[in-house]
Amino acid sequence: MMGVMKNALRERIRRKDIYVVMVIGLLIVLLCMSGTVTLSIDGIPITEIRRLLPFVLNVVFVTGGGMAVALSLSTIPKEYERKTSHLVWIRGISQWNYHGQLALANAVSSLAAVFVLYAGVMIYAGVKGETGVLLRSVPGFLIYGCGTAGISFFTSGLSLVLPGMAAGALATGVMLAGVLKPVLRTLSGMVSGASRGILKGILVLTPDLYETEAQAGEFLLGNPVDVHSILGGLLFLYLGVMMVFLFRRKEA
Amino acid sequence: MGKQIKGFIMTGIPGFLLLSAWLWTGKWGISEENKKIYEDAVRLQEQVDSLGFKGFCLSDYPVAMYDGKAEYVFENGEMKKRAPVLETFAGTVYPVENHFEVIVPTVEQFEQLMSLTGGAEGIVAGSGYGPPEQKATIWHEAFHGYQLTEFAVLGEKVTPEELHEEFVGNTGEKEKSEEQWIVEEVDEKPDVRRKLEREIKLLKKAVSDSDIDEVHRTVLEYSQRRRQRMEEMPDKAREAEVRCELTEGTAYYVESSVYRMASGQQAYEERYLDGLYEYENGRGKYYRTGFAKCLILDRLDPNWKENFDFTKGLDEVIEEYGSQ
Repeated sequence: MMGVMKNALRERIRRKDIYVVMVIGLLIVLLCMSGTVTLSIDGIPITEIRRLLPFVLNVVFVTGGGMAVALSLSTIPKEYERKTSHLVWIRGISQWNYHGQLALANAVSSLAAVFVLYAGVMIYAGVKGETGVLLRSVPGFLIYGCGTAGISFFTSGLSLVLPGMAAGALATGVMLAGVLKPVLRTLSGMVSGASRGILKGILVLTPDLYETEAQAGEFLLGNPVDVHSILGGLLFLYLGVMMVFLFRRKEA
Repeated sequence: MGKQIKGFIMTGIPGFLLLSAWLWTGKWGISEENKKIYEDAVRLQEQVDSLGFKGFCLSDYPVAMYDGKAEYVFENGEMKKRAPVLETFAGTVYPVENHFEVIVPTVEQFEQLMSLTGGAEGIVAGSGYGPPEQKATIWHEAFHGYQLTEFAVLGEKVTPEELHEEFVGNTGEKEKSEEQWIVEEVDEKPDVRRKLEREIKLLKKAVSDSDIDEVHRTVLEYSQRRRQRMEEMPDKAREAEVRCELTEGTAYYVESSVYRMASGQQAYEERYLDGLYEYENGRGKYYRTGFAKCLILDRLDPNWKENFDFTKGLDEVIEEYGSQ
């Protein structure tokens, strides 16, 4: 039933470049938390784990978002290039099922990659004695992961209808706009004229991935969470899934 | 066909539910932190009353917090969401219909703004921004509402309607702004600037001197020097300086007092007194010189606010009390 997905996942596991990115990401995360890098906000050095955690989770999210785009961009087009799709059609598997399984493999591998980085942060929190953070880490990842999964499905969906470069640029643009939403919102209030119009347009058209991810940080720290922001992340995930199921490829 | 409809319903229903829940929770509004900041700010009323500005009450002015999408207006114990009146991030008092309202960015937006710009007029750069600062800002802006509603500042009474008309009719091609006058006639003129820097040193001496007779002597010397410098400046630049010190200096005085109430003496000294005598280009320095003059007035006569009506500049008031 899920043979296509399993094969796609096996292929992902064989890709060495992802491991390199994951190791580099993990090193950056550990470096941020080791105290050898001096982080400061408004001139105040940030060393305490509870203040450091949201920042590090944000770094992990951006790294994970980039990996999700990279992992999801070429899977489906490559299957078509290699004509593997024809082997699937003759077995009577529908196009949406085929695309769905491939996109699911993309999402699972993206989440696995992010989980490695996330686990690094959680282990560090545990070492620092933050048992509360550690206990909340599993449900916290569910909140955290919906943004990454959304990026992955969205990229898979775009790769069905757009050429590789265009899909990659658009997916990366949406991902970056999503994680930089607070900065864009602030900038939109500082500029005027056409610049404001453009920024407002970007703000309306892109998901607030930053807020979704930030809620995971709040949850991990035991603070109240904003349900609206989590629902926003889920809505983006739903949109990505729908794109995969609704978009069709002409070659099929 | 039936399978397709079934599939459409099966996938459409979760989406519809998700969208509905998202829209519904969107109406919940701004974070609890912002609500708490407003409630805490209102709770400081009794302590602010002790400052002595008669009839100054925060709850007389609706407070709108702008999060970049909508404004959340706190008024009469309720919070209402509305489309933004002023679609920009600014801490200000703004005419809305027939009254003045305080408009501030949400604390999250203010923090973001500070980290992007490194500071704002009247706020010492790099000193951080959070709930205590936001409470102080709300009181600062409400004090402008008080000035405009209750007094004819320097003899000029402005109604909300007139001010609104002024903002709407401002095409950007009008006369020079206060900021331009100050930059051109004070900051960019080395001789005038040097004299002002010397005056600021005298203000510092008057604020910190423990001997009250010495304070009187310093005030006298300061007043002479100031008068002399003012005579060298064009009327418009002089008026800009006097107005800015009067309106912003007193508001900064209220703001700093609220900050002390919210954060304690040490935090107050670090934020407001340590950088009090720094020279800054533009209007920003007059927040601090005006504030220093309020502190001097406190030393000359703690009851100076009883008859204070904003019709005269702070220097005239200082001269009155200094000569007593």
